[in-house]
Amino acid sequence: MTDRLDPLVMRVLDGDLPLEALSPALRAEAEAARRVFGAPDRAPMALSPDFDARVMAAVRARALRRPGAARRAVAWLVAPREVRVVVRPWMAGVLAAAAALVLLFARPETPATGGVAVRFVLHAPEARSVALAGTFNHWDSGATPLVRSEGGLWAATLVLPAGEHEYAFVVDGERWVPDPAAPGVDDGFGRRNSVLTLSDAGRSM
Amino acid sequence: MTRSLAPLLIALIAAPAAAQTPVRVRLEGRVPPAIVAAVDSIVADAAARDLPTEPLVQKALEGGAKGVAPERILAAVGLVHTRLAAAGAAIDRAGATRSAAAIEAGAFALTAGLSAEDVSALVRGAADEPTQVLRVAATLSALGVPAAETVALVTSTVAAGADVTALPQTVQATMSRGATPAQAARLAQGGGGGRGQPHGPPPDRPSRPNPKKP
Repeated sequence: MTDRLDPLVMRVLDGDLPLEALSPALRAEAEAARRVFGAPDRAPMALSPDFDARVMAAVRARALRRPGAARRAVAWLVAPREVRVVVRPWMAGVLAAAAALVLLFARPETPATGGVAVRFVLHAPEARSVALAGTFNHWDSGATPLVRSEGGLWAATLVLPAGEHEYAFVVDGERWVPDPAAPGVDDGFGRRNSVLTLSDAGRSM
Repeated sequence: MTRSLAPLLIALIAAPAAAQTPVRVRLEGRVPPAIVAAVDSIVADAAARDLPTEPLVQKALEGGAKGVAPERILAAVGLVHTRLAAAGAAIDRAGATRSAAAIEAGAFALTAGLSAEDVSALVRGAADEPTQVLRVAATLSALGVPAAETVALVTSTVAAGADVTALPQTVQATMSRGATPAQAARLAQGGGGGRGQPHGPPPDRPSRPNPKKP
């Protein structure tokens, strides 16, 4: 499940794209986002008459305050300064060995222990809502709503462990639809469940 | 604790807690109250037989979520119990060590259309990876590959020392070009996984259709 805005909508909010460049669905999303994010910015802000004087007084007081020894030590430590590194030819072997050690011991965790990111997609242009229910979320049809994008595509990305996972899409909160792109098995209730099998090496079968 | 770590930590704490939650508590409000006790007793029986219990709870939750009639939920949970027991026995017959994952994979293979004999044959030929081999075979069967071709393809691939986990995608890719599941399996067997093996099902084993696939 994700609540992030579409990247194209983000670009419109950033001013990189005109609103007209978006599809009607994304345009509506962008306008809604503008209403949410833009409203506080557009509200007039009244400052008190003595605002400038108070700010300047605070700035002068801080500038006159002499920092303590500890603060000066910290400032010296964090102050940027130029550092020159000269690599001699004989150092190349040492650096290569160090890099090999780093690669050896800092390998990313294998997918077998961390799970596999799987993207579920359903094309359902007429749907008002699509969710995912399966063994991975205890068949809770409200747990994993899919996000609609352009062209009536609904998608969600989940991280799943190795093993066999049965699932189905729930369209408009009531219609159980198997994944047309996945193999299926009898669900025992007269319908079919889709099946996703992930190997121990983190590979989708 | 940063904001981004909070959901992960909550999940890490909540996941084991959910697994330890009594079955009745997990079922309450999710399945018809009339069958909670019956499902609980099926789960207890499975635990007593050293079978995995999570698939039973999952099937009950699935039935409840789909609004299925109580008696059908109970029948489906009972069928899952039967398949888990059959898978465990098939693994025992093959002389392999039981594990919860292997039993679940075996039950998955039975659900997908393989027989208990197929499960035993797959485990016998699986070297030390019965779970993986059963998962692959179940996936092939779910794709519509007939049981005989599934067993022949998987066991010959294991015997050749090739990667079995690539088989479903190989078969699917061939099917997407118009081959039937059986043809795709035979092509995959001839294409590398089955070095030294004849194409198609073994001579002593006639090809039979997958009952789960029309």
